[in-house]
Amino acid sequence: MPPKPSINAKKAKLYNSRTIRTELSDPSFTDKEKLSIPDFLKTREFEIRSFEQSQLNTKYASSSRVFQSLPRTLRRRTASHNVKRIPKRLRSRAIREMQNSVNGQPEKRKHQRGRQLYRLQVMKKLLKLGSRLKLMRGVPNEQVLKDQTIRNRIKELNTQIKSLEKDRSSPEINNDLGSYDNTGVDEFAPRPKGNLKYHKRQKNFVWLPTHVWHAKRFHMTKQYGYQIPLAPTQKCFKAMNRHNKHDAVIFDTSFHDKLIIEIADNADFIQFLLEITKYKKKLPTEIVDGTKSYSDWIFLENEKVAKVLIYANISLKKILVSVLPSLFMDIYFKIKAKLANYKSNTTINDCRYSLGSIDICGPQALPAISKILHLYKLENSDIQRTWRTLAHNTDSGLVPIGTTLSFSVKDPRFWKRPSRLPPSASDISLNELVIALNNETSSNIDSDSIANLLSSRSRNESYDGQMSIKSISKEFNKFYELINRSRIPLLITKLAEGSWSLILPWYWVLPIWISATKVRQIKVGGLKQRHQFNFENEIPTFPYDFPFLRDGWLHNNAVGTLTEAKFAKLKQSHVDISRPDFQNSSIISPFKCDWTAIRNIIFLKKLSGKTDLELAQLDPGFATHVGNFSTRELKSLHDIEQSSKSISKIYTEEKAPEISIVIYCKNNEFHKQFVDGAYEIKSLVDVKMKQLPVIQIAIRLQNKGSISDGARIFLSDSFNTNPEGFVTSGAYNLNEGQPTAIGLIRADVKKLSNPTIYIRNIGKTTFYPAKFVEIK
Amino acid sequence: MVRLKQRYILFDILYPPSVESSESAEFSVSESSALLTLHQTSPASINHRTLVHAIRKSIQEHYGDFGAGSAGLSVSIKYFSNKTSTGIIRCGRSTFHTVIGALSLIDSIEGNQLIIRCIHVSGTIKKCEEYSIRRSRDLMRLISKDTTRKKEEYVNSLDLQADEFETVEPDLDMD
Repeated sequence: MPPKPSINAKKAKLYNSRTIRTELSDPSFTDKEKLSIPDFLKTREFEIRSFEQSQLNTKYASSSRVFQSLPRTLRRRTASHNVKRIPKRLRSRAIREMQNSVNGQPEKRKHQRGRQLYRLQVMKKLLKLGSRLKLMRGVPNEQVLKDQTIRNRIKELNTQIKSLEKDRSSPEINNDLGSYDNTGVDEFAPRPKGNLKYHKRQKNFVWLPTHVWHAKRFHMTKQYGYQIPLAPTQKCFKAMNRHNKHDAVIFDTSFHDKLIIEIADNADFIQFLLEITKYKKKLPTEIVDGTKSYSDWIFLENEKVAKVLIYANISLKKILVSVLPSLFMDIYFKIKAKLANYKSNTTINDCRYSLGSIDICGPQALPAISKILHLYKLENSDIQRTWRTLAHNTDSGLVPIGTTLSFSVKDPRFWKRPSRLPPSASDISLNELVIALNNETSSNIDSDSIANLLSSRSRNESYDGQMSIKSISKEFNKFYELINRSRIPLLITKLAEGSWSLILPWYWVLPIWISATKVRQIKVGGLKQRHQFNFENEIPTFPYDFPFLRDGWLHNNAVGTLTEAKFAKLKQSHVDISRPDFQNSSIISPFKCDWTAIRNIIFLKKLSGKTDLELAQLDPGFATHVGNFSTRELKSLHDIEQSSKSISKIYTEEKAPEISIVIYCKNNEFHKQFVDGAYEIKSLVDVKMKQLPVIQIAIRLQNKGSISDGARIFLSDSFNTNPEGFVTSGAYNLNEGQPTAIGLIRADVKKLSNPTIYIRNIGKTTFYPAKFVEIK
Repeated sequence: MVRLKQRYILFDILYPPSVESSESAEFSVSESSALLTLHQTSPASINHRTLVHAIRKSIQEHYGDFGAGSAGLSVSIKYFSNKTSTGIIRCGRSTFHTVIGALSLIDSIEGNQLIIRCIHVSGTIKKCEEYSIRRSRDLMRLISKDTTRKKEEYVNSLDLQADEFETVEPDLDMD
């Protein structure tokens, strides 16, 4: 390789590249002359060309490394010394650039020595054995995966391989990839074992099927016992907002735990559904048949638990329930208890690790996903027609929520590129489709596919002959034989406005995911993007905006603890406790939304029997006590605030509720009285035992300002009042072009007609006037 | 280190027709003819050195010592083409107004009556080049289009006139 050019030569090269060549004029013509048209055109053409050439020269002279020619989104900071970060097509050039050779020979690679070398060699042996086991269609058993030294593990693997070699007739699994159906029948499903290489990392937190794909591109978070993608590593706040408005955004939601409940008797089936759904008297037939799904609140022990997806099919006698993982245990045991009351045969299948799902949001959701889903031929041509219409229309607002389709698709990896679904002469318009969907007798479910999806044995059979990407490319010339090998059963359902969910077997999620990410319109998002999209459409997100449910309450407390710990670490000089919320931080905590405190204050005010005006007027003097020194007389606002601190220590005979607030329910007597103002608080024990009814609101500022999480909501803009509610999610809303928020406020503002509320962020002194709307 | 920012001025030199010579007659024949008259090639006597000298002289004359000191020294010619009479000047960001004013007040260079007009100002030379490319393309399109239309019109007008007048040799080599 030639020696590197010196610094001066580089500068000279840059300088020379900047000269723009001019057309030389004939020295004989010294005077100005009028040109003819072709001559004029020629001179101008020359000038244009020389300008363009000089631009190209500077471009190639200044950028010296190959990764600098990549677009901004593909550049990586460590690409300069880590060749693996550069896309494959540029890698050979980058390697040549990287070679810091002196006399044409690249320098020697460093390798490990001693104990490290031994460990690596032994690990390599283990992995070799693992892949041999996989080729023999076996799954490493418990003994291999137990926490022990590598040598013991190798021994166990060898024994397992020997036993499999003796008896080759019954392999454990039916494919080369290690895919099998992991369902627990009337018991909990065992955790997925995963690849032998990564097994140790999955001991405490389960990996999603697309984990490796996400790990390269996303920040991950460990929650609910899963490793869940949080947000892409690159900045994407505005870009994601744009994608949600024009393209499709895809999420891997396999961490949503799924249950399949089998009830043999039809009457019990309907009875069970009536109890858990919001329908109390009559169930719509579409939900019972399985032509529509139910994504709304689930009721267990007569109270709302959370929003779930329920798909029921009476002909198969199965109900699929998809819940958030934090609620899984709670719901599982409550359903089990409920089923014990039924006389007919019931089974609960734990399909947490056998059914995966992919969520797609955005107007291009179905058109984009239709580019990779190649359907098998169906007897019922209605399904194909429905699918076609949905795939060719980007405005799916009229399609009713709960619309469900089910069909089988071919392995999408056989198609190298996403291809648009071709239109057909028999296509119907979207309006006609909507009318057909609202018709009660329409059915878009292929009975075979849905039966295959919901049955453990059929799911296992669908993995038969599943091929790896390498084997697909090897045997690509046998395309027409191989595409019909795998039938992937799918269920597509509309969860909410602009959001569709695909449910498929666990080990088929990755092949579909890999093909989906090749579609140009599809972008990938994480939990934060979910929150952002909901927030921008003024929809509350579980758990952040639901502090009256257990998960939201715990999240709120956790945020408070963490913020407090962070605050405690600050230097004294950086701490300004004269700020509004930090002044009286013992009454209302400035680190979180302190619902307990405002519940106490509101109920204590009622207990004192005085109006706000009377309480404010009285000067805080000495505290006077009533009775035997236990209860403080409530004469002024100061008394009330000080009493609120001690409410938590009061002894109550029954257990006080952990959550201090409750969502307003119009059937509840106390809530109705609260809204009318006619409720009664008789003693301090009452204060502790009762929960404050609240309503969820969407807030919008009237003028300029800013809202952040935890901001306080007031009904008047003076400093002497107490907050009436808190903001749970507050940020700049790109859809509105101004800051908005979702929060909770005491339920009796329902009586006031279009009041103005005032928002004050934590630690700040400015009150921003705002208007709100209740979220039902 | 704060960046020292420059401005790049794209200019071109126009040659208005003088009243005495036959140029004025040719000038008003058609649009393309007018354009071609204006955008003539510059004589060889106008080059980088003479241009800079003319600009500095103009600044000294109209803006005095103060102008000459602040703006005059930082003017340099990055590109000038005699054939197209287009050029790019580099000057400081704070003084480019002065330079543009001085350019427009230049009457003649080396005995040639001309008008210098500023077409585009930009912070990078790349954008000046891009603008010039676009503008040249528009000019080319305008000139070549006009010719064909003019010819058709002329041919049509000939048909009308043929009856009324004796046959006149059509003068088709007018450009």
